[in-house]
Amino acid sequence: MIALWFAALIVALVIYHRLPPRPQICWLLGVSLAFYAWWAWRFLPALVLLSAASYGIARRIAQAPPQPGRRAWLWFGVALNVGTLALLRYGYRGAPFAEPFAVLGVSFYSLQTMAYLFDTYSGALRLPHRPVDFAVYVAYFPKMAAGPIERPQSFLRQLAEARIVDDARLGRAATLIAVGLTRKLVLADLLAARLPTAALAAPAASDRLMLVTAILGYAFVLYNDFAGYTSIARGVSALFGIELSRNFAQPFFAHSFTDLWNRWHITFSHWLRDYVYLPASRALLRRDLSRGNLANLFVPPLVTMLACGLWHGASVHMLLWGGLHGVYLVAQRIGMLRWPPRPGAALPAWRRRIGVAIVFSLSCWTLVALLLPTAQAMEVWWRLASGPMGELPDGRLLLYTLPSLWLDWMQIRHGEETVFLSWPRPARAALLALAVLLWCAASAATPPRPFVYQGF
Amino acid sequence: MSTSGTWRVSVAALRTPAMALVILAVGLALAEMAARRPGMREVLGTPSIGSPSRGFELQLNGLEQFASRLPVDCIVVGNSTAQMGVDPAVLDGRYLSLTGRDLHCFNFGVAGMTAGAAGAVATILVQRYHPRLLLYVVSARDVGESVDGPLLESTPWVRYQLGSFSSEGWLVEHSAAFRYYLLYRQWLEPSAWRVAASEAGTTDAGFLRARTRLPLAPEVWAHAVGFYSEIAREPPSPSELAGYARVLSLSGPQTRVIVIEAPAHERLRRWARRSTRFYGEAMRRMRDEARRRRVPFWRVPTWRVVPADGWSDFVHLDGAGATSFSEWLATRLATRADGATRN
Repeated sequence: MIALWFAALIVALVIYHRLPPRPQICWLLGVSLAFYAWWAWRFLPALVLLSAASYGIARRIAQAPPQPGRRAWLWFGVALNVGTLALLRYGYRGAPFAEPFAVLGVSFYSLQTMAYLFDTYSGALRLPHRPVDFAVYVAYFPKMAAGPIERPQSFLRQLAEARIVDDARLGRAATLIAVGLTRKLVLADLLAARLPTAALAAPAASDRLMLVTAILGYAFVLYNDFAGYTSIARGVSALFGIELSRNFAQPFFAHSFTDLWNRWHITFSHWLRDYVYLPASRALLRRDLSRGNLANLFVPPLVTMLACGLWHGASVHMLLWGGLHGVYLVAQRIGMLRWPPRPGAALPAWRRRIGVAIVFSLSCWTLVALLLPTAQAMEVWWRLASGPMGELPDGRLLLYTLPSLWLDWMQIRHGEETVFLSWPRPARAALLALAVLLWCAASAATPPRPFVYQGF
Repeated sequence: MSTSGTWRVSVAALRTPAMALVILAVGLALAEMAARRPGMREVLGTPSIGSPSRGFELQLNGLEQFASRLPVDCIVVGNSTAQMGVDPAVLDGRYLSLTGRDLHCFNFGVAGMTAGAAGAVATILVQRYHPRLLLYVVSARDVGESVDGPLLESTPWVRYQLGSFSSEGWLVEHSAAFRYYLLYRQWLEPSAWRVAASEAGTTDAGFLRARTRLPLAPEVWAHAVGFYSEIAREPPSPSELAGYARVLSLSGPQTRVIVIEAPAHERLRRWARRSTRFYGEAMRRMRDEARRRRVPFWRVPTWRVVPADGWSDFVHLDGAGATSFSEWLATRLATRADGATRN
C-alpha cells in the first residue's frame, strides 16, 4: 500500500510540474479527490457538498448587506459545518483513538471551511476566489488526513503565485519528509509497540512506575506520531511548491501552558485562539475593560479548551481533559495578575526549567483523560497517588525517547526545523544514510501503524 | 533533472543522496567485516537468526561450538523436558564405561518446542551435522493443538534452510552483520528481556540444569493440571503429528532415530490417564507412527528411573533426576541400540 501510494505520488508530481500554473490547480484538485476517494469514497459526497455549500455561503456573506444578513449567513454556514462534523464523526463511531477512523479528515477540513467563512465575514479575506482554488484549499491531499489546518489567506495566496520547486525547496522538502519518517517509524511506532499499555488497561494490577512509564511513553508516541505525520505532509506539499503551516514546535520544552499551545498542534490551537478565544474575550471586554473582569479571566480559556476537548470527542473524559487544560490556563492568568511578565525580559533559566517540568508533568498527567474513559482515568490517577511504587522500568525504553528529545533540542537550539540542511554535505549524507538504515530496520521490526490522528 | 516549468532542480541536488548511498554501502561493508571478526561474539554475544526463541538460537550456537571441538555422534531434540532431562556429560560417561566407546551427544532441547517445530529443526540438524543418533524426547503436549510454542518452523532462516527462499533467510545465512542486527533488535524487545535471564546456565553440551526445585505443593499441582487440561481440550493436532512424522522420516542408514517418552511425575501421569483421553490418544498415535516406520519408541519406567526427589516440578527433572534418567538412557543405548552407536 505504501509503495503504491509512493508511486502515485511520483506520477502526480511529474504530471503536475509539466503543466502550466492554472491547470496545475485543476490537477491538484483531481489528485486530491482521487486520494480521498481511494481512502474513503463513501464520504466523498460529504466533502464535495460541504465545500460547495460553504463556498456559496461565503459568497453570500461577501455580497450580503451589512447586519443582520451577513451574520445570519455566517451562522448558517457555521451550523452547517458543525452539524456535518457532528453527524459524520458521531454517527460513525464513538471512541476516538480506538481504531482507524472511518470518516476521513472531516474534523480538519470543516475547520478550514469555517475559517474561510469567518475570515470572509470579518473582511480579512477578499473574495471572490475561483471555486477550484477554494476546493483545493479544502481538499488538498497532503493535509487531508490529519492537517495541518490551513488558513485561507496564506494557502490561497500560494495558489495565485508561481509554485517553483528549486534545489533549496527540494532539500527542505526532503528534510521534512526524512524527519517525519524518522519520528513516525523509528520513534513513535517502535515505542508504541514496546510500551506497557496493559498497565493503563488494568490499572488496578499495575504499580506506579509502570503507569508512569506507560503515560510518559505514550506522550512521546503521540507527539512523534502526529509531528511525524505533519512533517511528512509538509514535505510532500513542498514538492508541489506549496508550503503548509508548522504544527509542532518542540512542545515538551514549553515553559507555560500558553507556550504549550503555541507549540502543540499549533494550527488547531491558533484556530481556537482566533475563532473562539479572542471573540469570546472581546465580547466580555466590551462590557468591562478592567483588569478585575473575572468573567474574562475565566470564561475564554475554559470555553476554548472545552471546545478543544469536544473536538477530540463528545464524551465526558474529553471534556475533562479540555476542562483541566482550561483550568491550567486560568491559573496561569491569575498568576500573571500577581506577577505580570515584564515585556521583553527573558525568563531566568531556572524559572524556565521549572516551568518546563511543571507543564510537561501536568500535561502528561492530564493526558490520561484524553486516552481513557473517565472512570478508568480516575482509577489510574488514584493508583498513581496510592499504588505500590514497583520496579524501575528497563532503561532500554530511553532509546526511543532520547532521540526524540535530541531532535527537538537540535531544532530548538538552531531555531530551524530543517537545521540539518546547514550541516556540511558529508555530515548530512551520513545522517541520511543512518536514517535510511533506521527506517528499514524499524519497519522490519514493527509493521508501521496507522497515524493516531489519521482521518480524525 | 529539469530546469523548466515549476520544477527547477539541478543535478547538484542529487549529490547528498548519492553520497548517502555511498556512505551506506561503505558502512554496511565495514560492519560486515567487523561482524566476521572472531572476537566479535565474545563482545556482542551470540548473534540471532531472527527466531522467536532465544533458547533455540543459543542452542544452535552451542551446537556449532560443540561441533568445532568434537564429532557430533548424537543429538537429543525435544522441549524443555528434554533439555532439563538429559545430561550429555552423564550419558556419554556412562556409555563409555559400559561399552568402552566414546559417544558425543549434544542436547538440543528448546523450551516450548512442539513436534511441528521439531520436524523442521531436526531436519536442519541432521542435514548440517549428520549425527549417527537422533534421540527425540517426546511428550503428549508436543502434539497438542493449543500449545503455544515458539513458531520456529516459520522463522525465515529455518524455512530458507529447508529450501524456501526469503531475503531475510538469505541475509541471516550470509551476513554476520545482519545476524548481529537481529540480536540488537531482539535486545530491544521487552518480551525477550525476561527470557534472556532465564536461559543462562546451559552447559557446553546444551543441558540446562534446573536451578529451582519447586516443592510439589498443591498450587504447583493445580497449575500443572490447569495447563494440561487446557491442552487436552482438543484432539492431537494433525500438523504437529506431521512434524513428528517428519522427525521419524529422518531415520535411515546414516542416522538412526529413537523416540523416548519424556519422563513425567507418576501423579501427573495417573491423572492424565484417568481424566483425559487426549494423553492416551496422543501417545498411542505417536507409538503407532513409530512402529509403522520401524523407529524404536522407548517408554520410561519413571518410578524406577527417577528418584522421588528428582523433580523440579511435575514434568521437569532436577539435577539428580536428570543424572538418573541420563544413566538409564545410556544403559539402554548400550544394550538395545548398540549397532547404531558403534563407530
